[in-house]
Amino acid sequence: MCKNCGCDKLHQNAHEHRHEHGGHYHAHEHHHDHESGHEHQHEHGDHQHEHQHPGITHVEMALNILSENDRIAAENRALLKSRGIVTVNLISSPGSGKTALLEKTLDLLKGDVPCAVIVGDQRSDEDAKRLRGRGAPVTQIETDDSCHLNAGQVALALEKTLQPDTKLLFIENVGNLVCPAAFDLGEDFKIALLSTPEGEDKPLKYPSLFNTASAVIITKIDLCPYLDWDIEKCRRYIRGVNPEVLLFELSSRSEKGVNSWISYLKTLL
Amino acid sequence: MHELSIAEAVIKQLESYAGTHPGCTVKKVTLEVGVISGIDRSALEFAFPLALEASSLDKLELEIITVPVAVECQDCRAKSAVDKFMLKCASCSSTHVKICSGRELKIKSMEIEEA
Repeated sequence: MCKNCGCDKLHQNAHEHRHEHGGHYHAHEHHHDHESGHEHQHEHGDHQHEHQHPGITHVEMALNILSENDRIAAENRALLKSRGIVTVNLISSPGSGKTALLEKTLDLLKGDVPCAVIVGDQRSDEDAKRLRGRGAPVTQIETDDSCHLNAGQVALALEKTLQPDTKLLFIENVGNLVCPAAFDLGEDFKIALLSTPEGEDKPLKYPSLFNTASAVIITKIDLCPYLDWDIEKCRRYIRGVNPEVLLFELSSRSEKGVNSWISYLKTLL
Repeated sequence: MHELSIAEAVIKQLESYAGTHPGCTVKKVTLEVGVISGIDRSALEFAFPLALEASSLDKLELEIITVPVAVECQDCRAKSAVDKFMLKCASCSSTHVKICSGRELKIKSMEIEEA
C-alpha cells in the first residue's frame, strides 16, 4: 500500500501528486489512477467532507527532510566503498570517552591496520591534538554552533584525510546523545558509547541513538566500584531498545575489555 | 537541539520547489515527525518561524503530524504499537521485532497558491 496517500499502489519517493481545488466545495474521497513517478492530477467527485480552498493546490511531497544530507552521505559511502575503507561513526554524550577509546585503539592498531580519523567538535582542536602522533592522519572539524556533523562537512574532510592505504576510518562525532543520530555521514556502522557515570537509564531516555547503533560500548567500567552501577540493568535497557545489538564493556584506561573491541574492528575489514 | 537545522532543511526544500514553480506561493507545509526521530516538536515549532524569517519565503503555516512507534514481530508477524520505548511484540512478547514506524522525518505535503 502507498504510505503517501493510502491507495493500494506503491509510489516512488518524491513524485508529485496534486489535485486542484478551484474554490469549490469538495469531498475527500479519492478515486484516482496512478501512473508511476510523475506529476498527475485528479478530480473530486462526492461531496461529503466540505471545506473551501480558493485557489489553493494541495501537493503531496513524501520527501525526506534530510534528503540533501542523505544524498551527500550516499556519495561518501560510495567513495569509501570504492576504496575498500570501512567507516565507523562514534556517537555519545560529551565526556563518555570517545577520544580516550580512539587513542587506545589507534595505539593498538598501529602498524597493523592503516587508520584515519575525522573528529568533530563545536570549537577547538583539543581532540585532534590528542589523537595525532599515533600513526593515523587526523582532521579536526569545528562545527561552530552546530551540535552534530553533517555529510557535507565529512565529504570535505575525506579528501584531506584519506591516504592511499587507509583501511579503517573513524569519525568521532560531536559529543551529543541526540542530534548526531539523525545525520547519515556515509558510515558503515554507527557505534554508541555510554560511560558508567552517565547512568544505566540513558538508552531508555535517548532511544533514537541506541536504537540505530550497530554496537554499544559501555566505557569506564573501571569506575564501577565507585558508582551505584547496575550492569545487568544497563544491558537490559540497551537490549530493550535494540534487542540484537552487539555489546562491549571496557575501560580504555585499564584496558580491560579493549581486546574484544579491537578484534571486532578487525572482523569488519 | 538540531531542530533549527531541520527547519532550515525544510525551508530549503520549499524554496527549491518555489524556484522551479514560478508564481507559486507556499501557504502551508505538513511534516511527519516520528516519536523516535530525535526531534522535539515544540523546539521545531519554535525554530521554524526563525528559519523562515531568514529565508526568501513569506510567512506560512506549519503542521506537524506526530507518528507513533510501531513494530512488526519477526516471529508471529503481528504489528503492534509500542507504548514506552521497549521493543517488544504486544502479542507474543518476542523481542525479535522490526520498527515499522516512528523514525519519520518527512515533508508530507504542501498547500500552494498559484498566481
